[in-house]
Amino acid sequence: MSRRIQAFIAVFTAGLLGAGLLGACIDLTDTLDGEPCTVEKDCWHKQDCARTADEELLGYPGVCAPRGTACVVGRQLGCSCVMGDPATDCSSFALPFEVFFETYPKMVCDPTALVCVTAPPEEMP
Amino acid sequence: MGRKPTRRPCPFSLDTTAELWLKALTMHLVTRAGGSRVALLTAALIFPSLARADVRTEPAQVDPFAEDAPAGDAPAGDAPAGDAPAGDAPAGVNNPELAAEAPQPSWNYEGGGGGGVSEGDPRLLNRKIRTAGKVTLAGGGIAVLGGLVAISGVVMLYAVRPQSRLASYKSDNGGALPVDDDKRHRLIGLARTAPLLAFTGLGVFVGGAIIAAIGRIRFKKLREKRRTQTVAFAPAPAALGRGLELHLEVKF
Repeated sequence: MSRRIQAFIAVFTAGLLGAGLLGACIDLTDTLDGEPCTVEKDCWHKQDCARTADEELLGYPGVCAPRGTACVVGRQLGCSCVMGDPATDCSSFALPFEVFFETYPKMVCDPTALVCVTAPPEEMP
Repeated sequence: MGRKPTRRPCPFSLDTTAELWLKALTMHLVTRAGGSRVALLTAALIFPSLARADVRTEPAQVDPFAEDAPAGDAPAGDAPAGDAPAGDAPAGVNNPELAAEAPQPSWNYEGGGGGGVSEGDPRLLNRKIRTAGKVTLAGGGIAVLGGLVAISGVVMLYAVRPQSRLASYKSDNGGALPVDDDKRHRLIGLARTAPLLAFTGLGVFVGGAIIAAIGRIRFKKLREKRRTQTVAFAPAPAALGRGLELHLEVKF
């Protein structure tokens, strides 16, 4: 085998390996963002399982959020909220709506504590 | 034409004065009585050898009638022009003009080596060559191992495709991944481990390739050095505890 063919095979193999390695860079941050979790292993290594004490007490799962996030503001039970802001006034929750819209409790922002709490039961008409 | 035998002068003849003196001395010692007769006789017997050595150190007389006399002693007109050696011509050259026209090939060492003598023990050089060969093989082995690990990591990623598997698992589960699930954990762990495996394998592959390349270069250099070195025999006496032995050293 001539040197030219050997060099071509070496370059081709190195290029193939490099391309494969470049394609092997996988980041599941976006895939797992907002997914329910109960343990840290449910999330990507760049994320934390943001789960409040109230959720843990009531048996609700937390959500995978970026590292350092204790809870999603205004969208998790027991987390802080901002009155008047529709995005953070506890009117919606962080977990996937289509899965948890029946099981996750309705929340309101407590005006005194500014924490998402379970909404009082609606009065029957 | 027949060659006339050259008449060489005898280095020692009975007609010399020293020989006559020696004969007289011998006769005197034989007739003389006494204890030192033997010693004197010994000295008298040694004397001819010394006299002969003295005669041989004298310049030999050249027969001017010999045919194979040197050309320098012959008359200038009798000597042929082609056979007369030049003043600074090298030995064995009869015709300097033809010798000057002769091609002078340059000396080329086989394999492009220097043809030098090894500095040290040839066994040390062989040991270095073996070590370089082992390093080359070890580097090649490491490179192959690293390449296999890297390829297995890449294949694992492309065969399993954890990202798409997680997406399909999510849709199968109603739009959200199940919590604390083994399959979810396995896919996430695979997605994290496989690139690490692939890049670690790549690093090992590159390291092994560098080691193998360095070892190969060194191996070839040392092998070429051994091939192009002069072989020399150097006898050297070595005194041991009892007696003397002849020590032969071979240099490659």
